[in-house]
Amino acid sequence: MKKHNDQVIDKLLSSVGRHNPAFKIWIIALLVIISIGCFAYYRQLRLGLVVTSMRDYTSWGIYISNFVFFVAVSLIGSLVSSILKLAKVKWSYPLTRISEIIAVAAIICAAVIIIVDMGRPDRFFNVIIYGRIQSPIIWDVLVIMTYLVISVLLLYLPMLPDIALCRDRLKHVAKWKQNLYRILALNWQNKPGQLNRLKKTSTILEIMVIPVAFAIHTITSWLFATTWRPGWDSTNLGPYFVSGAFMLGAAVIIVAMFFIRKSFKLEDFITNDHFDKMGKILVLLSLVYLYFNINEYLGPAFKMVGVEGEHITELFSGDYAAMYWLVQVPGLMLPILLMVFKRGRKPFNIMIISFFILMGAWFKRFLIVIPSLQHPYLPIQDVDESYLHYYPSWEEWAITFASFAGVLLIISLLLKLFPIIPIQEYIHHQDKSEDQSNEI
Amino acid sequence: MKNFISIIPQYSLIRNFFLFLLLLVGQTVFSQKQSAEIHFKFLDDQADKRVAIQVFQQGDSALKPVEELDISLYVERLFSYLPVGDRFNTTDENGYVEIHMPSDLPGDSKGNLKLILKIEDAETIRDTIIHTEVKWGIPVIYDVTEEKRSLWAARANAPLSLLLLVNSLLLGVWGIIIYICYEMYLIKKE
Repeated sequence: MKKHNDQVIDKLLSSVGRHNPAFKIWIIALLVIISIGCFAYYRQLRLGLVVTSMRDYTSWGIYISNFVFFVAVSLIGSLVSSILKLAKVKWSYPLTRISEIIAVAAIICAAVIIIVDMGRPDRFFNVIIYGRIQSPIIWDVLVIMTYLVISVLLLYLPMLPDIALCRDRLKHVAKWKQNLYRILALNWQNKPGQLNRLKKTSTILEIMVIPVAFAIHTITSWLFATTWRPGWDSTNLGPYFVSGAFMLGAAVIIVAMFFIRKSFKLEDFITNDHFDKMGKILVLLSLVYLYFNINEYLGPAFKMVGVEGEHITELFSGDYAAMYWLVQVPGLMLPILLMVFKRGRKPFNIMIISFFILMGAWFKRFLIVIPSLQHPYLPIQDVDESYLHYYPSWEEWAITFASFAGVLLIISLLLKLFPIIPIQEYIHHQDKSEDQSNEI
Repeated sequence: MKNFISIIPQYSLIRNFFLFLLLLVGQTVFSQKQSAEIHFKFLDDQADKRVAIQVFQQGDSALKPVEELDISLYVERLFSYLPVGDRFNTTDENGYVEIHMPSDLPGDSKGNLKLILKIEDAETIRDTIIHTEVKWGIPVIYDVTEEKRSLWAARANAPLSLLLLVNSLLLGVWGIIIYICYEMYLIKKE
């Protein structure tokens, strides 16, 4: 038994800190994209927000739709490492660390994007020092900071025994990494007292992250729902956002599972069965989201009242119709149909389907933010032609791609620094299942 | 070979300046416009409120009324002056004119209205502005208590219930986070 466990530990630790030329090329490519984004941001800082296509009508562009997207992605942490864990879903534990890493990376980039959207980022702390507690923006700032801290703790605490393993077994890695593992391991020795404390704190975090995760995306939806604009004036917006976020999160983790399994050769730990089960969860979450989608559009589309009607017409058959139907059909309805069949849940197939869901979800955030802003209730007289349309400038695209590269960079570095599969948890579950089979 | 730079004084600037001074002094000394003596009183017959204005000018020996003079009357509002009366309120041969005031103008908390009397662009009288007050407005009492604590008030006047809710949520969640950090410290010390 011990020999088998040692083999498992060695295999799972083998990816940590190992030099890999392909990984280096990947990191350099991400850094190049981030550098281009930094240059675009430098231009934005130097010349002002005028370099973007945001004007008086569309004052929230792709920065904010990207922010909503990242907040949605970050909810995956609470789904896998909390909801599934508390429901004692045993097959999901190899995915907990991946989901938490994605959650941390996404929420960091969401926070950064908000600062990028500010015309005067040097005044960011004024938001906290002089912020009005009545404003949903302040609630959002508070809940994002809280969720970031909880996500980091939820990633870090259950990882303590594995960091201790890295500290004790990885003697070939660089000195700074050894020091890092030593500091982060918090003197972990697998003592009963330490195990008890870890179990207690992990359970508290797993419970606490659920309401905070619901709060973060509900409050993000309130940023829109409390602003008087067509398409946002809806009581449905909170659950609509949360359900969409869970669907997106599940799609993101499937895409991540596929590439991580392939890159780190983890076929023994992330099996085809994991894809099949995540596929079933994704079908359920997509159906819930579809239900909220119908609720969101049916009422206004049936009544077609005033500017709400104009907004709906623009989405259904106007300027944004192509994007809207692409989001609804290949981004939501077709994936549900395909994933219902077992073949649709095979690793490669479901990765492609999840990618479509992911793309659909990004453009869905675009459709939530931009068309609504182009229908202000107080029109400005003799507006400039540029106010009436919104096509993001190259600076906005560069910064958006850089934010994606930033998420991927954080994920890649964390995956390289720490074991991807929770080792101690894996061994514990293996031992337990063997004990049960012996008893039978 | 030396280069010479010649500096020519700009006399035109100095000349223009003196010309300007001369015109200014000339305007003041030789101006035909004189100051006027303006008498006004408020006539209130319940239904009809009027401002009676009489304008005089110093004659050779005594005051003489100013005939055919346009007078404007305004009520000060929040952002601008509201004109009242007719478009032209012209004095008669006695230098007298009456301007009717609306009786439904909102005033301050005591009903005071700030009035502005103006004589502008008259032939023989200098531009004159007189500020005065009359208690002919409808008293408007702002309910300050209602504005005090509300969702739309400044940050210092946030609703107590909201403050209580948000702060207790924050205290609860961050209290747990601090407790977890303390537990991490105990794990390290174990």
